[in-house]
Amino acid sequence: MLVASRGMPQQRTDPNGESMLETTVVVIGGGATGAGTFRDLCMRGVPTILLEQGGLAHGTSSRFHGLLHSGGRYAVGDNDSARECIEENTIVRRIGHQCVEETEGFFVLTPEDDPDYVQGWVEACAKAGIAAAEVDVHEALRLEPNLSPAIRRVFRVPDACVDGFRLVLHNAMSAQRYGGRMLTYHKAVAIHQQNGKVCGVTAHNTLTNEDVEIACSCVVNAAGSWSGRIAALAGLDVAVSPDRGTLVVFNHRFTSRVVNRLHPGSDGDIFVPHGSITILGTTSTTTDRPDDTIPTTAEVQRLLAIGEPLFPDVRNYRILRAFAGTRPLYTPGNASGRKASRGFHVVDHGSEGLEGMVSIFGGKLTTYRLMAERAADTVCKKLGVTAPCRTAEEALIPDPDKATLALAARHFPMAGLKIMADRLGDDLPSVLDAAKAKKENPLLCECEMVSLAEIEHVARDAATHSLTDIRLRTRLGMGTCQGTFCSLRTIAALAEHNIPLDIPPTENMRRFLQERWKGLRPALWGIQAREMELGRAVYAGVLNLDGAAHEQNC
Amino acid sequence: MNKIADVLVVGSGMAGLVAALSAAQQGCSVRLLSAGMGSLAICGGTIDLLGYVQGNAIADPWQGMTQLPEEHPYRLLGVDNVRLAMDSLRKTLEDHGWPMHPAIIDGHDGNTRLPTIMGTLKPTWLLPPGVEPQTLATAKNILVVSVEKLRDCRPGLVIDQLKRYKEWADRTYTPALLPSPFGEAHRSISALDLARLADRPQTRNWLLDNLAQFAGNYDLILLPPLCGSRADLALQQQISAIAKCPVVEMLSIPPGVGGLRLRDVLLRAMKECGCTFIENATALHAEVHDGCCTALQVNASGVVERQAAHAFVMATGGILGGGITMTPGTVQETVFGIDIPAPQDVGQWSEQDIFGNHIFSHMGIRVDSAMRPVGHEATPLWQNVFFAGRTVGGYDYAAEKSGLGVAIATGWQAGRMAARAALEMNGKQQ
Amino acid sequence: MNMHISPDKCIACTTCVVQCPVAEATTKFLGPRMIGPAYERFRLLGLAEDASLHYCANCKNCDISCPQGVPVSSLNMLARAEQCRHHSPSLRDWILGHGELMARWLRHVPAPLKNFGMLNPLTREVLDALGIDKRATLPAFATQTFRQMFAHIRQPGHKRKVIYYPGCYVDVYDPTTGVDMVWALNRAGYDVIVPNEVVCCGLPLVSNGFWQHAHANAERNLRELAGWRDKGLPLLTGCPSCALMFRTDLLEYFPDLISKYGPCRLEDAQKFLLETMDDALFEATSTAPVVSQHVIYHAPCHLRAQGNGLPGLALLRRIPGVNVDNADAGCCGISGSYGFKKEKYDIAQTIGSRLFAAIRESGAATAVSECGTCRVQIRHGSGLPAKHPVSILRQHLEGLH
Repeated sequence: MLVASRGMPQQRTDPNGESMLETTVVVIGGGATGAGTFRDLCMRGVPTILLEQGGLAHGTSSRFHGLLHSGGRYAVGDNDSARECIEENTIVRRIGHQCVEETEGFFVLTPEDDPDYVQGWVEACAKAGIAAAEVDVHEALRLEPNLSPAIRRVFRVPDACVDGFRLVLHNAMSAQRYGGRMLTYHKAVAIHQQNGKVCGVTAHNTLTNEDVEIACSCVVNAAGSWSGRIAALAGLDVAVSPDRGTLVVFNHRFTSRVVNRLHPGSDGDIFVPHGSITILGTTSTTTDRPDDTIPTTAEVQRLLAIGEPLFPDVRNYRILRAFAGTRPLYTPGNASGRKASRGFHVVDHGSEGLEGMVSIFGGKLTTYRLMAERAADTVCKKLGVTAPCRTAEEALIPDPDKATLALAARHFPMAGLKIMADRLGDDLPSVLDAAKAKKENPLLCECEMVSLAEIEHVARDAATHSLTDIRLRTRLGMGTCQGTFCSLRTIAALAEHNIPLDIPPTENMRRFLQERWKGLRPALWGIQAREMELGRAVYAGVLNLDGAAHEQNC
Repeated sequence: MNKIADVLVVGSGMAGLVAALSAAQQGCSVRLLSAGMGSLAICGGTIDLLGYVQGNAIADPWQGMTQLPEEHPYRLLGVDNVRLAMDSLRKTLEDHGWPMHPAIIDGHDGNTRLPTIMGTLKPTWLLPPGVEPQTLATAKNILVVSVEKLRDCRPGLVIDQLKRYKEWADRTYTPALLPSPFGEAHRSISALDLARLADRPQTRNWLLDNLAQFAGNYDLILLPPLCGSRADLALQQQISAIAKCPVVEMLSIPPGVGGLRLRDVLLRAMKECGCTFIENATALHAEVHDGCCTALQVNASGVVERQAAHAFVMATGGILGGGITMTPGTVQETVFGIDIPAPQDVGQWSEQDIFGNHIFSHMGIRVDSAMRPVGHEATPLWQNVFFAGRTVGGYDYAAEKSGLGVAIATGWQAGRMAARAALEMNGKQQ
Repeated sequence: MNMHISPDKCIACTTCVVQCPVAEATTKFLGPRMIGPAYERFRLLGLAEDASLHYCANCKNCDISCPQGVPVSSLNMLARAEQCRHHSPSLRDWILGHGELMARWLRHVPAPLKNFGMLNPLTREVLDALGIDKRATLPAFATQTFRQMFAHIRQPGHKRKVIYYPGCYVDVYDPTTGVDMVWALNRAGYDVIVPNEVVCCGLPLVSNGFWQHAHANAERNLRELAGWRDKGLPLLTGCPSCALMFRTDLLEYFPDLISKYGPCRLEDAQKFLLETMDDALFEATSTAPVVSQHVIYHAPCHLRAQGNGLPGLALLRRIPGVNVDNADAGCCGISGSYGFKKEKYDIAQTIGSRLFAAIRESGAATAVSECGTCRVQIRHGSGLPAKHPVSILRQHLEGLH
């Protein structure tokens, strides 16, 4: 068995010339749990490689409503989960404030909800340690003027909003600072074992179609909705069922707080403000595919109908797009949907005859850190590592100093500066240097205020292959125009400044627009239909991107 | 103001302006209402007629028209009428000092594939003065120019992408980035900012001096649309003379410098015809009696005004312009409330491929050959109501590259037919 | 307060950027699409305001050109109000926003003295230091206010009556235009009532950031006018900016007042006169000899924004002897007090340069426009005298040459 020395994962070339890596632990899954486990192990000094089949947060961690739960939602049904939520909520605000908007949340009783539910809910919140204070309805309407004037009661809870993608990114950045190595667009295709012990993983690079062998002594299966598939690679079975949830993104921030309906958890009853947009979620349907993420019109209409008692104008707000993700529900004995537990489970497969294999599943993004801690504890115990978990104490990324921020204000639009600094984290100083060195630093994406320097910085990152990767890091193309103007500007700037992406320019744009299209289609009406016609006018009508697909043949 | 106009045109995009002119040329009094500036403000300066039929590139748009489905506006009008419409527009353009022309191949006019600011080629039909298809085909030594801080056009991308076309691969390209004339600017500059510099004799030298340095070294200069925002032939000639080679503007994204030139000409022509232009007036509802429309109710800054006329041309711009309203499960023409058939499930309105053959992209009013909306029996719903431009169904301007062509053809016909209807009604009343 | 208008209608098509006269004149301004709907999405997030917001002239060309009906200028004015709540506007902006109030304070000072006080070179240096450009031509106080003059005009005793809202420009600086308007309305068969309680419509206050003062003015005006409206009397004004303020802006700015009093949508008096001519109540004929006159007409942006076309131009075309050209050369640049401001004077002159050239090249000896400050700017930029259409009407029909 190979055990890597402490420190960085080692790279070497085997006699056949194939790429060969050595490490102690391979974490499979670049979502919140995986990246959190990756960070935790690296901070404890365990050599670790993270594998992700797509880009970071390709799965569920970027496909949810972005609510950092206070726990209020689970207080009645699952008080233990609720307690975990409020504890972790407090920790994540502290260690990841760049990923969190401290908006607070309202639980709102509408005329359609059962008033008798309230008393039990208040008591359950108290039991879980969640501060839930009643707010006068008039005061609530003053604070959130778009709420329905018909609402009956309002409670204030410490909900917050979290940028799932950024949280994953910052965990990964932190892990890399501690020596971890990350391989995105690498799909785990085999888990090797010897004498009942894990000894390696084969990863397939989906961009180059090459395989990479990684020798290791431990594998953490943190693949979320895909964890059943990963377990199967090792001949194991886990009780995880993907559960599909669809969400709607609105063009503007019509609520400045998270707004929940005060009733037993149901579809479509949470509004989450998220930077410049608002998200409404979530539906719940059982699915057999973890990548069942194409939203439907019926789901969108259902969400609007359920959201209406809270925000009566919801049908007049412009829908930018819809999207879907799959929850990895822990379903022993085939519990499903909302009845399934939101708790999480760490399974040491040693008891099933495979030493070194640990799976973690269930749970929710709010408790990702705790899940990672438990998974890392299990691994460390096996490896005899005694270093304690420090992920709750240390900030994910350091804050930029005041001087850097002051300098940045000279090179970036003021309004966009804070959000840019938050999403860049560690990278701000180098982006700033790049901006200083340039004659120009225009906004390439005006809807989300993303500048050339930031885009170029992200484009140069080894983990960036496509416009979509840039979008996830920067929010390029995620605003009003959904990529109509910015994708051309970005592709043009990268070509001009010799920063080629793996995918050639026109193809890259087509894929990017296609990805945006997927989310536009189910809500093709109102103003957004006009926006889409403008996009078609530009990309097909003027630039002939459709014709060029067949005609650019050199 | 409550005098009844002969023809009331709604919309000031290409279809509306052409309809207004076409009706005025028949001797009618024309009033044109506009909510917003019309799509020419975001259009390019060439005129597409027909570039693709069912995804196949078409060299001869007239030939291509015969392959279109029967419900296509070109088929409803007939090739001869489309030709008359185009001739009429070309004459207007020529009379106002902006002669546009198509490529002539073996004695027939046809499409020209013009470079875009993305370095792709797009087939288009009428070219602005100074653009010669022959030069585009034969130029070997090409200068691709843009301007510092102009985000929308970067020579690097243009050259990379042009080289991916066989007929453009084997040529020599030189990129050039002109210094920005604006210095420190609080906002990003657009081609329109630069074009406006070229409009004014006092600031024009920036462009002329910069192009002069390349004079004689190239067969062709490609640049973004910055050679003036008005239809100024002398300026175009001056630019080419200074560069000592053809200077061709690449097709570009909004703001539509080239479209502004067309709008400039058409507004001048309309003014000469005595058309009345009412801005910022949104048509809300139609008053109809006995198979005729008598007036439109119009929102004029919060007050509903009645605009009466003998005939009406609706050139309201389809989905983008608001002439077609899409709500979950239903599609309607906005002013007359005409139902447009659509599947109940919005998911069926489009295909999964963004550039697929979508149902919604053909959605619009079904019209007869006179551009009157028709009901189930194919009979006109009203005798004096005519539609033009994208609110008419049966075509996909983006995939076909037929946007301005259909706007001109349907606008010309709708204006002409509305004039005829108005004169008849006038006759009846007298 | 902290009001917001949904930015959802904007599809980022850039049409407003094409039509914005300020964006055309200077790259210091971020442009209507960015300052309006794009920034609004970030204002809702509580992020910092863009430094160039103050460059918006509130000329409404963005609203006129927008195909999607985005109230861009109102988004900007609400943002400015919010900004001014945190950072008080300057003394200069107070002065420019409160012309009517100052006139009221100084009402007992004789006009020549007031004008000497305000317009002498020394004061102009002081004002220049405060930020009112000394090159700008400031309007002079009239000897008598319009309302003082109106008090001496006996109404003919027609059965039909109209309410005439003069607006502060006519009242304070240009009473003759108001008197001409009263003459025209009388001639059309209407007695004219000028309510005593009404004050400035508040547009200069909004443009300069005095939101609460504008609210107070609006309340006073609506309270007064709603009564007349409910009696069924037509509410007229000759000033396009006042009309637009009452027709659309107040509804977007002060929904609380609208729900209290209902809207009082002032009608364009020129349109009203034209309709009286159509209805043969008013014949544009004269016993005076026809004198031919070539004039050039400028359409104020706030008139174009009303969606009624150019009734003032149509009115001029009905006057025997008057040969009128439509300049059709865009915004004059003044936007109320915008063009008086030191940092905006050059921008305003650049914007107006096309109009000035069109006026000079027309060969006309007189310019005509409904808007008072447009006329100030035209006189300043082109050197031609500038009048209101009703003044031309009266001059010809009464033979006052």
